[in-house]
Amino acid sequence: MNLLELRNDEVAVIVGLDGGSAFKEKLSFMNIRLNKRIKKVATQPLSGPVIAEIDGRQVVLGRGIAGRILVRR
Amino acid sequence: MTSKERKILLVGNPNVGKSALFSRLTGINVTVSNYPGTTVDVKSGKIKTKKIDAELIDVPGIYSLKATCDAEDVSCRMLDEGNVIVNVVDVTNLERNLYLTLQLLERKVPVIVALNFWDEREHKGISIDAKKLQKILGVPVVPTVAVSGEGINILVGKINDAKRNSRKTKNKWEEIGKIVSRVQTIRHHHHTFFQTLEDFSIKPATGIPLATVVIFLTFMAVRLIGEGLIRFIFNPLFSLYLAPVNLLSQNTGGFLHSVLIGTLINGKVDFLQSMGLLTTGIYVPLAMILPYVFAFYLVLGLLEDSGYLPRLAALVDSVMHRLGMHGLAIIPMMLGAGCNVPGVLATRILETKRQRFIAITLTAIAMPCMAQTAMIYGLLGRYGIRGIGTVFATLFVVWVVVGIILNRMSRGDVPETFLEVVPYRIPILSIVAKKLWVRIRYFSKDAVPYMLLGVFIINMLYFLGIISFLGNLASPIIVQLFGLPREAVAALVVGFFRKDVAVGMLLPLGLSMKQLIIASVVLTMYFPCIATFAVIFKELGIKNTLKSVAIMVGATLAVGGMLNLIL
Repeated sequence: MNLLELRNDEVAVIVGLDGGSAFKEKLSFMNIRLNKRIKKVATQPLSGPVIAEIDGRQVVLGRGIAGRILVRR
Repeated sequence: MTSKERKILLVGNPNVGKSALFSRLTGINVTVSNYPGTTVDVKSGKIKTKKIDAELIDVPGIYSLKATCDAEDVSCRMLDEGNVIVNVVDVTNLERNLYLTLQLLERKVPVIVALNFWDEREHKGISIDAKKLQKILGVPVVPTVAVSGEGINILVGKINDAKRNSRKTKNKWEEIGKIVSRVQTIRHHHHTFFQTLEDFSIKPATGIPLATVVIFLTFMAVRLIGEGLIRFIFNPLFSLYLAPVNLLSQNTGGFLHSVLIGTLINGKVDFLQSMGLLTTGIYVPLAMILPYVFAFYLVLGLLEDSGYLPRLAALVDSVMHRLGMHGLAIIPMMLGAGCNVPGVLATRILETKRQRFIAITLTAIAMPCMAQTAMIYGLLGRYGIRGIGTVFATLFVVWVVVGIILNRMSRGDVPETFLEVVPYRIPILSIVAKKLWVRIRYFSKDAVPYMLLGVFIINMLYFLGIISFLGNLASPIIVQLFGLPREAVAALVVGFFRKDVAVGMLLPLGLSMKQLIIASVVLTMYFPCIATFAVIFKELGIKNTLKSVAIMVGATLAVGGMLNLIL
């Protein structure tokens, strides 16, 4: 499953990043990396972005990016 | 800035308190200048102690050297010029920050690490062994609290001990994992008040009502502070100023009088309507606009430094995407509501040209600056919400519709949102004050001279009869399409220079409410003031500026004509 499918306030572990090395490096700036725990904080309405939390820091992710972050509960 | 001078670079991720540290290290002598050959603002200042005499440069925040240099970013070029690097690390976010640290250590430059926000780790349940980290990294590591100044002297004292390490790390994240597990322990802790607020302000169910309240309070505060300044400071000052002006008025005549003093209204100098350089020319920018610009940037600066704005950006992101921009574009838009000039400059935070074109065009068309807002209130205030509300509602609809059209018609797409939400922090007043000062300088440096020039040129054009000539030319549009009297043409011409004066010129014409609404909307939309135009030209280049202006004029004709039919 991916981050979009996770329910709000649920915590999961990142098991895959669906993209090339530039995509992965960009995500790593926000500590979005394999095996990190990620919490989905909120989903903005009208197909707005997803708010996720990693190591106590929140990050705003467009749905296209969130859908490529694969997680396991 | 001499090339021989020793240069110390302040380098770190965005939002690690670099600016606060910079202020602490340099004191008041800060210059903001363009990096050679670019439009990137670079802050530099002096560090002077017994042992050090160097220039300190605040390098714009970066996450990764590789990504920054691949993108041929200025920050990358700046790194080559430094003699020492002070790597600022957010100690509450050590793991992520160390990535850049390891990259910096690979370079052939001495590095010293500042562990900033040292005071915050306690209530976040984080403990860090700084000594151990220093040993592992092989360069000096100094805990700092930029806000209180704690550790700053030690940091300065150790700059000369900065070490070249040149160590290469193959798998950086693996290495970082090892380092963090050795130096950092995290206890479970209860959510702090700020952390609870973080969730509250970004979840749509609570965040959207909160955002509405915040925006409402922002504008209330701006009004209150602005009005207070005018009533208690500027108006009393200008009533003192009236005496020398009257004296000058009695002792001059002819051309000089009409340029400096302007026309007497009922035999007296009227700061609003006389239209002289020394009367209206300085009264309007100083006593009517400046107080609001000051109030606006004070409140916005507090909002920015509290960390609220990225949350607002997240909440409006989906709407902004439909207008071809990121949620983050709300920041230049809000800045533009103070003065369009810094608003246009702030569009640099948007990463694509397409977004910047849309953001700039929308700011110029539909974002009334404080000057325009003040004058719209001046013109339509007595009609209350029916008058003012119609103008702002129209501008809002224009903003949305033009945005949607531009988004549909421009090639390309808006990149996916990817934005860090900074933690809430209590703003540091000295830094807010500094930022306020820089923005006020933009306004006074760019806006006030153009205002004087505008008044002067208009007086000349009147004198030479050019205004009535232009009036004849433009009257079919003004009279037929917009339903305005021919005399309003002069005001619209003045609007090229300063909208505020232009609106002021409409006052004596005795227009109806409908005409005042149309005039206000048209004046706001058809062209930005000349200062904003100059900045747009600098930012967009000639082709896109012309395109932008064409959109403004086209939209104005359509909207002005429509209002004339509907109202």
